[in-house]
Amino acid sequence: MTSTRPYIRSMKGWWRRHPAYRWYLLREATSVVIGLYALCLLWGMTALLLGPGAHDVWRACVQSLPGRVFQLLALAAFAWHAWTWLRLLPLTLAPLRLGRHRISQTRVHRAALGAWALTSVALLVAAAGGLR
Amino acid sequence: MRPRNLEPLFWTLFGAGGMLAALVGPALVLILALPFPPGALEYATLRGAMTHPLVALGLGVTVGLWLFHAAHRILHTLYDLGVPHAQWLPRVCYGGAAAGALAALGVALAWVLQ
Repeated sequence: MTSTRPYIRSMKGWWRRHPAYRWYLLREATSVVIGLYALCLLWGMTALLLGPGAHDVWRACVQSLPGRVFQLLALAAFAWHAWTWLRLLPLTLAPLRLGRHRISQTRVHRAALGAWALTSVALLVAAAGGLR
Repeated sequence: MRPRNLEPLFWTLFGAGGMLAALVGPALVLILALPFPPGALEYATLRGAMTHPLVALGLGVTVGLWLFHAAHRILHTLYDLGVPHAQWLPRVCYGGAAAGALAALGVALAWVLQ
């Protein structure tokens, strides 16, 4: 008797097959760091609400060596996330039109990068003024 | 009425969180990581910043959406890595994100109302 089942290639270890798959996994891995950083912020804003004692514990953690290493990792993860996210943005958006003219993907990408730069500068300036 | 599929809702939260993480994430990490201006993480300084309702609410919404972003991406990456589709897995991911987001919004509201 012959089997009529079709051959299905195993997906085991698929990320070893192409560098693009590993770049994909690196991009997805940023979400773990983003989630952890969000929890760190949640802890910080709760501790600040509770009082100086709780805030001191949070600040000591943030400014410890592991805390600083984590923040460096978070900076890299957020930057890589932002770069890949904005690069993919034109593909995930519905095609944008201006009258009869279609806005090209390159323009959408450039506008997104511009928005990123603008918000970053605005936040840094606001923080430099407000946190003084 | 219970919607048949919650995936569009989760994808929207994932997208909103991803957009916020891209636009304000790197700058926010930089602001809290830099030792400049000196004393930026002091109790009184941060309290002063958080009494502004826009800062408190913005931070609460940002934290909540980042949690949903992370939950969605982690879940689908686990599926991609070959983790079997079990019913408890999305419940843990999205349930955890929802709990964290509710907490973040609650704390933000407490800041606004105090």
